[in-house]
Amino acid sequence: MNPALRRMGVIALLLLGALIVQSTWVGFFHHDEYEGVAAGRTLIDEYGVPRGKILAGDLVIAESVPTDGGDYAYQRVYPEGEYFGNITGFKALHYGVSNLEEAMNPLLNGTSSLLAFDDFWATVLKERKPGGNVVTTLDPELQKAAYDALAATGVKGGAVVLDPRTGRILAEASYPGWDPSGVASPSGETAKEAWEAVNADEDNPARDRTRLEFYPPGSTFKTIVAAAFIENGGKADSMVPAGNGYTAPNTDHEIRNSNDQCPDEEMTLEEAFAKSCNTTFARLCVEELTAEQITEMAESFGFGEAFETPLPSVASDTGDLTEEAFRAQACIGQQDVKETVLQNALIAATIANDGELMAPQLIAELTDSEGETVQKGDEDSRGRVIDIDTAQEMRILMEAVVDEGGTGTTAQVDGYTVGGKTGTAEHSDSSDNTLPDHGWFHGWAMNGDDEPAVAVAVFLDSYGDGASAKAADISGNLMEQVLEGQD
Amino acid sequence: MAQPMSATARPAGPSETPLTPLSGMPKRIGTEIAMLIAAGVAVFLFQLTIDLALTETTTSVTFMLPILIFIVSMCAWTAVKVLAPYADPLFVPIAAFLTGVGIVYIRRIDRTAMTDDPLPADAGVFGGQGGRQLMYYMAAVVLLTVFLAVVRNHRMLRGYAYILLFAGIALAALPGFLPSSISESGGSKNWIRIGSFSVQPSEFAKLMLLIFFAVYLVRKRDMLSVAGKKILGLQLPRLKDLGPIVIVWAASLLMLVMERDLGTSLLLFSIFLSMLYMATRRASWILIGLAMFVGGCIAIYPFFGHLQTRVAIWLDPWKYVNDPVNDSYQLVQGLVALNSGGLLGNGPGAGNPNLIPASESDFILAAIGEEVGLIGLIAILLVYAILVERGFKTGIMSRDLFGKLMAGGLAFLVAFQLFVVFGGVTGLIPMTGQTTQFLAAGGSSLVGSWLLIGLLVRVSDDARKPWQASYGLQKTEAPPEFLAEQAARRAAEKAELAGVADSGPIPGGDQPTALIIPGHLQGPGSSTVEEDVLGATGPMSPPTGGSTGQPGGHTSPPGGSTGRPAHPGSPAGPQYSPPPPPNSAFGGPSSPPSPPLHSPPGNTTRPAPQSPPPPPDSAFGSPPRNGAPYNSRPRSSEDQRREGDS
Repeated sequence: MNPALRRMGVIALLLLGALIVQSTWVGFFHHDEYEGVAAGRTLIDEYGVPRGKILAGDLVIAESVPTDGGDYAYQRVYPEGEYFGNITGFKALHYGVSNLEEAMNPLLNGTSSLLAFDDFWATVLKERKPGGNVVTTLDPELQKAAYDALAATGVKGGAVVLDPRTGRILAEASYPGWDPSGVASPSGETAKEAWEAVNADEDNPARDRTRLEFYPPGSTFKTIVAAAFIENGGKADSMVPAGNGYTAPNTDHEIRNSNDQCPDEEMTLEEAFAKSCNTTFARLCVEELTAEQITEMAESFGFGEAFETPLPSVASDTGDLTEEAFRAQACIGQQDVKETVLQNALIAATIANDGELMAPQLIAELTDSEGETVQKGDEDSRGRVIDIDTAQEMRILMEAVVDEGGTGTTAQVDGYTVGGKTGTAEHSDSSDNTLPDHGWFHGWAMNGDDEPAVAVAVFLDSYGDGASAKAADISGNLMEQVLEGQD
Repeated sequence: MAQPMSATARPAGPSETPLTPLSGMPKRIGTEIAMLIAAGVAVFLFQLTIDLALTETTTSVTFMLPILIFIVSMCAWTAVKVLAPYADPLFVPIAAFLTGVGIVYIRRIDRTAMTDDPLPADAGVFGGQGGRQLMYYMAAVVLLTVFLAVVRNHRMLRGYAYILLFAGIALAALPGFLPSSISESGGSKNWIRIGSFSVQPSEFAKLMLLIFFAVYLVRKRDMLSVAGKKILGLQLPRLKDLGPIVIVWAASLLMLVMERDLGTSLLLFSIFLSMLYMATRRASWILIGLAMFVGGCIAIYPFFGHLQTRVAIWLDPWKYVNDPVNDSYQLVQGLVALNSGGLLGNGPGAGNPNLIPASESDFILAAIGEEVGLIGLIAILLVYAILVERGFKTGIMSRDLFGKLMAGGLAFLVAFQLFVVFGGVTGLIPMTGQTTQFLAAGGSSLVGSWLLIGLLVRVSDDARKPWQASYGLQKTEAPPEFLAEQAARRAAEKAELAGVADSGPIPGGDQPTALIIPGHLQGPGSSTVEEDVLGATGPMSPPTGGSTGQPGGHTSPPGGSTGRPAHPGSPAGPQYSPPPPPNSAFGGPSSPPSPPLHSPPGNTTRPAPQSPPPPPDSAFGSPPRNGAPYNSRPRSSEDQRREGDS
């Protein structure tokens, strides 16, 4: 019987060997089809350690707190709720991740190479480690003020405040805002309800209106036209055509001024800009400037570029300017011109900063979980996109807008030099019904040392009468807050 | 046609030395304790890493649980050392290690359970499922002790073969007849649940039926290995010998149908097949059996959704993730768990075993695999492999056919059950729902596993204990009278001790070990006796006709005449003379006073001190036609009786 026993012993070993081979196949090799199911496992891992915080100054705007139990050791909360929802985004169990949570995910979840030496053994063993923190450039008080101001208008809107010298974003508010805490809840039901609610909301509160939506810029586009004109030989005191009406070639649509405020046939560029004469800028574009010159100037300011702050933004666009009739319309910010609030703030910032465009950025500092800095946010200069003289001439124009007689007097800040440009954009819905006007203001202010201190753009969606004045008012208040904070 | 056979511990080839030396195998107590301590330390470290990973602190349980497990393991070891001192030193440490790992891990799964109140870190050692498993371990060790104390010699189990058969059938079949509310779990009806107490009878039925198979196959091996037609180079058995396998096959399929328990059904049938092969050494049995089982499964496949589900999930688990009918969630989670563990694992306590349904029972190896990685998993599989191969070695060393076949069957059971469970978990074969022995949560499984160890220990103890040379098997200067006297006394004692059940001529030539002498011990010139008699281990190697004739002449010299008085009192004597009641269960052969020892005419030539071993062996082992002078008569009568049986 022994030979048979021996053979059976070999057969038993073969069976166990087959198990070892199979478990090696399952356990050791990569299988694409496992990934879908493995995601849930990764999530649990990820929630097993605290994710890094997101801060605005000293204010925590997103953090992980221990749960009461269950699968997940930590849950994500957003203490400041809707004020910063458009910045932080959410990190949810089932609905993914967005905005800063997405852009800075590797650092926040501890897998970034920046943290490799933070806990060296954990890195070697591929263990989860607590994530690092992201400190944003946002000024929490300013952000809240901007949000509250937008909310007070009762219409949707966005506001961006920049430091022109560095490109740091001091506030980037979008109203209506949204508190991501619900979607990030570890409770499947709560998260589902919140998710369905936000998706059902027609106002789309989770969408950041300052960078992911673009709007017709209205008269604020005249800043670009004026800059193009000056860059090509014009001056603030150059005489430019005006008039109450202008019909561009090949069209029968007459461009008029909003209140017939520019009856003269000729006036200085400064006056035309301050009064926001549509006829002037339509004629400048048709008669003095080529499509290339306008497009070039717009692109110098950042049109066509999707900035990453690191939050992504959509690229602003001038549309097709080759047809003169379209160009005339485009130069007063109508037609196909589409601009984000962020882009509009950048134009003001560039002019305030003597023509040097600083790419906008939101990250002040990255730290490890202990708060030790692992990387400083750096400045990213795109160089002098407009001549320094052009910038100075432009500042003269923009100051005139805010000074008495201009359209943006509500933006004045006592004791400081402020410049800007108002804008009122007509728009209609898909069935060509005219809707209340959008209000715009972009501008800047100099601090006591006559250095550029702040640039701002405020947009009010379909505000109606007085839209641009309201936008200028909000802008003024925000700039005042920054200026007084600096002194 | 009777094949020659013999009960022997000798390996097949004459060139191999006997596995058990005259003085028995070393007990290796020191090594065994060292292994137990190593197992205890390993279990403690496992618990420690788990606690550190889960809570970063230790509690009293961190130390108490491994210590308790170690104490219970030492109790098991002590019981084995006292009751079966020569048993293979690896069985208890391996079983204790696996059980300890299981208990610690089941507790760890409780700690992170997805229920509202997972087990707190400082819950007592008896808290949760892990605690219950510890209690089962204690119960298992108590039952092991009782088993070893009651069954002092595995051969006595032969007497209960048919009782075990019927008990096994009853236990295996019972849940099939009970209402689903009592017996159903996870699609299979293989439980008996009364209140909070539940038992899985098939765990015990397996062992009972295995013992019966061993008894039965040893008796029928001659018949079953008779050659029939030869087809395509394959020696088929005779058609009329297909009866037993057909019965077991039908019973397995019935079980599959009634209880929807593919695992137990497959397990029982494959144990029978493997033991049939070991008994007859005919590969054709395996082919026939596999063909029958596969054919049977295919035949009933269209009617059983349960079976279809398992196969569909096995073929493509990814297609059925969250499928309402054939949900492969469990399998897929198991696969992903193993994969996420990778080579080194996520670390004990750092995985997510709770994502896998039934991670504490069927899928415990997948859950452990996630945390200890492929390396740890393979280590565990190798520990099982050592256990299995020690089981086969026990069979090879065993000195009687029943012991051989039972040990071989038990070893194969361990291997095959692991294959069925873990093969199902890793997607190698369709899932069948068996428990992982020693590791998986469940009292029935754990107790059954430890009883299996008890059986192996029993056979092993017998196989490894010293040859009982004082029966006069050694070359010795002692006067024959003394030796005879001593032998008689010992035999009487033994008969008393072992009781009636331990005796009786078992048809099939299965003989007690004490009577066998290794050939080389018989001194120069006598080796041929052993080789001829004992070397004829299988039906495939019949001894050459002439050689068996030699013993008579060969071994006669020393004090041949003095041997005679020894016969009545020789150890074999009392075993044969009284026809013991239990033997009647075997269907008869024992009842007539057949023993060869009572046939003095032929025996006169044999020397007394040396004769006891050969008689039973040679009596049954050498064909009567060879004309061994001393055993021709009873031999032939035995033969006829056995053939009449069939």
